[in-house]
Amino acid sequence: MPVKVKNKGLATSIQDMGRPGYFHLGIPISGAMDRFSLRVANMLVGNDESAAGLEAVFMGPELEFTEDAIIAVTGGELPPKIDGEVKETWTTMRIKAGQTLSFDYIRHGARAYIAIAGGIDTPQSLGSRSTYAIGALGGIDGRVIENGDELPIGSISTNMSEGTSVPKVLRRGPGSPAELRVLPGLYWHRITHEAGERFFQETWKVASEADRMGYRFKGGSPLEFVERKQPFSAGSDPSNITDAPYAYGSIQVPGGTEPIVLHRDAVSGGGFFTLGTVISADMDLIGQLQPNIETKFVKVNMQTALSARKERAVMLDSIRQAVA
Amino acid sequence: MSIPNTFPAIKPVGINGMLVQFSDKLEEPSNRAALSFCDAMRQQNWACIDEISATLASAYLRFDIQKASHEELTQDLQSLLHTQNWYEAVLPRGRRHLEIPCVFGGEHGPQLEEAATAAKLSTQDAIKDLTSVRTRVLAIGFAPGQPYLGELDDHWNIPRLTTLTREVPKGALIVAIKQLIIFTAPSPTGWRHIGQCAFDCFRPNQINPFTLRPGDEVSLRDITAKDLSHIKAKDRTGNGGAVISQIL
Repeated sequence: MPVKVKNKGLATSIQDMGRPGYFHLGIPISGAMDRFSLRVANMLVGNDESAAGLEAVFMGPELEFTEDAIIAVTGGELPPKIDGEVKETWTTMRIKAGQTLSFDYIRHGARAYIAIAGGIDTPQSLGSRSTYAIGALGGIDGRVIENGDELPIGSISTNMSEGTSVPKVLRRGPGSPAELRVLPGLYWHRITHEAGERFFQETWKVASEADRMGYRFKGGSPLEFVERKQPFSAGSDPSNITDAPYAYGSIQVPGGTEPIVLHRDAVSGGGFFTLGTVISADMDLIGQLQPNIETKFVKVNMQTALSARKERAVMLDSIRQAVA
Repeated sequence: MSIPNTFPAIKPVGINGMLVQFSDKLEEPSNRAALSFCDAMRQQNWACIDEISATLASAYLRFDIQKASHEELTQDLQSLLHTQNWYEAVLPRGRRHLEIPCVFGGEHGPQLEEAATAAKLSTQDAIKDLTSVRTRVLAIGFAPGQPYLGELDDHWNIPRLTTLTREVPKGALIVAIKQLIIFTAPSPTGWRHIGQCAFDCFRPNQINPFTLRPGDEVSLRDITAKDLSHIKAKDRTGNGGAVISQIL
């Protein structure tokens, strides 16, 4: 029972939990930028939490349903409308055959997740349905959705009842300013103590270069580097290193000016040093940042990073119980 | 061989990553160490390891923090590091040799002359040089299936350009700092564009989209532009006329 794409919105893509395991061959993990929200959307429709849904950016798509379905929209506040009537986000909805799901303009956040009971059932590539457009993997023939596409939906018997809703306290999104916790990393020693302090003290703003590959931040001071002898094969800029892997969440600072947090579709490696990594629990929040949002980087240690990860797991558990 | 005594080093990367660095610069022994250590890790098959990636001079491991703490993993890695001198290790088995056809110079390699001059060679000698050397896939990365090939002789230690070339095509052969890369997809680059291959580094529509693995060896065969269009017209595999054999 396909869902017809009447209007694609803006770079709406099919995403699941991603494609781990091919990093060593240059393939990023991909998957939802805000995995927390996709998981919850799936819970609300009775899907496996890792089922594929749609990730809409800033603008929602317009989808016509050819059969009755159970759906939910989570993530940023992008209010869904069924045949023009505004519905609640983070809530189980029923849509009938022939009805159209569209969206109002975005109130806050950046990405909404649309789950449909049964999940989007496009073919997997390398173990995932996630769209990695640069590598032409997943999605619809390796691309984002287009007008006129028909999205195949898996079959499932769900007993989720309409109106099931996630309590507001359990809907996670970035605060203001957004706070991103950072584990200082591998090349922290390359910058001066003062530069390191400033990095955390200053308020940054999300730049316009913010997409699935990475989020650039501007407005803070350029970094000062510690003198070094340039290692062979590293570039001549002090921010260059001999090409090395970029972990998910790595913060690279080309030229020492504007930090870029590498996200789900980032390249697997390259020749820039990385200051550290944004902890995984906060990577979901980045997916909800719009350009110009004020952001602070907050220094944490491994202990705090591990507790943050546990807290997020507990939160997801609470939601599982709340919607069960 | 000069390996600083601060290497190998084991360092956490984020919450669930661990990097075993064999050097901070590119050199054959540290690449050998990275490849061999990754191979040994695969054979060890530790339950906590989710993924193993060899890079130019390091091994990047993604692990499950539910199954091992940072301390436990560090200790186990330390023990494995102590079992042999990885800088002189035997390279993994099962590697392959690929002879890949390439057009050098002209519109297919507009910066060949410039690169040859930087390497203090005539263009003819540069081509001879690059087609007689057998390079190793030092690492795969930056783009899907994209190989870093090296190390070339010292005279190929030519710097990156200070400005980016807006776009080189898929299959472009580029050179800098004693390495060659064959591009997976059209891309900007700061390296010099010297040739063009029909070899497809990444084939998302095939069952196995990746042909090259770290540790494989690659030589280039000089062909004409006409040969290239011939190969392109006939080739359905993506091998671009490459001759592939097992390294015994």
